[in-house]
Amino acid sequence: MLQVSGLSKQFKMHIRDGLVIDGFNDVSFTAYKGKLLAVTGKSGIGKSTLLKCIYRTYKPTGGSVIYLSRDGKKVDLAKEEDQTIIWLRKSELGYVSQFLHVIPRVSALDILAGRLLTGNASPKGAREEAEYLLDRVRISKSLWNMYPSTFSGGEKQRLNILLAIAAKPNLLLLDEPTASLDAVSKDIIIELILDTKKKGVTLIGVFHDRDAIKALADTRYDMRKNRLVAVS
Amino acid sequence: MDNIMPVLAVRNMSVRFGESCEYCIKGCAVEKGRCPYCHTIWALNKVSFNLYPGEILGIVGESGSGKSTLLKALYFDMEVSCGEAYLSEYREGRENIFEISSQQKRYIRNHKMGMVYQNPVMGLRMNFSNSANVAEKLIAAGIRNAGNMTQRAEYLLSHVEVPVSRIKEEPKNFSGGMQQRVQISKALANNPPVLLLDEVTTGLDLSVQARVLDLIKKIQLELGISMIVVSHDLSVIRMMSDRTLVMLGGRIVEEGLTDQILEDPIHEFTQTLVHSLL
Ligand SMILES: Nc1ncnc2c1ncn2[C@@H]1O[C@H](COP(=O)(O)OP(=O)(O)O)[C@@H](O)[C@H]1O
Ligand SMILES: [Mg+2]
Ligand SMILES: [Zn+2]
Repeated sequence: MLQVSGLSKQFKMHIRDGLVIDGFNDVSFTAYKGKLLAVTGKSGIGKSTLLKCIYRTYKPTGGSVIYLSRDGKKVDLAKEEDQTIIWLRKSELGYVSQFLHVIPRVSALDILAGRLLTGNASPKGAREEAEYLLDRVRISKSLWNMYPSTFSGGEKQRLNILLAIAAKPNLLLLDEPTASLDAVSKDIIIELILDTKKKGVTLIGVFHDRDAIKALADTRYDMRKNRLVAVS
Repeated sequence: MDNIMPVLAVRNMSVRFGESCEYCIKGCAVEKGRCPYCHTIWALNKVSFNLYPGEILGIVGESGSGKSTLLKALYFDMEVSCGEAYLSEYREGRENIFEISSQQKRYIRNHKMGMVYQNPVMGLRMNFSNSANVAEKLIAAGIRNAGNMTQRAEYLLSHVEVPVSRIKEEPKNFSGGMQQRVQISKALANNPPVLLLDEVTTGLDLSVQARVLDLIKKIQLELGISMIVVSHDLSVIRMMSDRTLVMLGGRIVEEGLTDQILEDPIHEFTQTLVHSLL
């Protein structure tokens, strides 16, 4: 569960004579376990900024982000110590954008198996599961031992979501994970996200297309009106 | 998720070159690390930070900001003017390591901390073989059995991907990237819990740089060792560290998650640093 209250973000640009740029203002909502909250609003309104504030890539200027961790503790992600955020990111917070960020010069299979290894999996078990998952998202076997930098956009994005899910998040933030993808990749990704919901993960997502919102969202937060609205 | 104990806690650490005066000794704002009255250089000015278990902590800043001074003083290559540092693996972190005997400091250098310098000449004996370089460190830590020593030296050197066929050679004949590998294996010889790395890939070709950084990252994951990685190069910091300190004029001006430092720098200097690279 995640409770956002009065959250806002302003950027102060010292290198532009102290110019203040508005990210977003006074956002409040609650996201629940096993549900997906879609964040909507036109481009530039602050959707990505909001997700980055929750993940703490951006430092919120005001408000709070109360997160209930797996071990039942309430932490304010807006103010929590850096090393606790790092620990939470490694164990239960996930973030996926349209861009795949992975360690260079490591094969797709090794990266995914490495991600699955955290926990009590054996190296062999992790490898088998990685193979199963790559196959499931229809990444062809010939690519498994290649570096993801050589993949197509759709393949990269399928791997990107797999990696996020493999880390077994409790809260997963999705920033346009289906942007500019072919129909097949889009369907595969929607299927993966539905699966993740069933596992009881709390999801917050930005999607550019209505189909994805219809298929996935339980609630919708409109950033123009600054409130929850009907899904469709 | 309870409070994580740091492996290294540094408090108000200062290194000055010069006598200091009434003004600057009080820790008044010293622009660019130099006192306007007595011209004392404050290479480090009341620096405090924690290094946590298993983390790579990045330190970034322009040349002259105090990064190397920080590492050298922590490794006792240089004296601090004042301040405290506590190592959780030395007397349970109860003694300020800046105030212990020189014999105890040597013990820490040989068992509890490793250092990799930008210039391999600082860390290696160029006329000794690679294996002798590593053995020197093992002897310093009290290992006397020649068989064990050779075995361990071979193991360490092959671990950093120095070909077994070349371990009897002298590092002076090696390329820069290979010399750094030898330095890393020497620094790791006695399994220190903390490894300090000062601009270790600066000046290397980009492809060599990438491979040395890959190696460091791999070692960190395998051994779970805590590292401080100093670099003026933000791309090195981006690749290596979870958390980053930004230094300017002997002070830490910003501290944060590495992605926050790079994408949402708060301090004016950090903004300049990040935007100059975009
Ligand atoms: N031995 C020294 N004598 C006088 N000034 C020094 C000495 N060593 C370093 N400094 C000064 O201390 C400051 C910090 O230097 P340094 O730690 O080398 O910075 P960095 O590693 O960030 O480039 C600089 O102003 C430098 O000129
Ligand atoms: Mg330096
Ligand atoms: Zn002075």
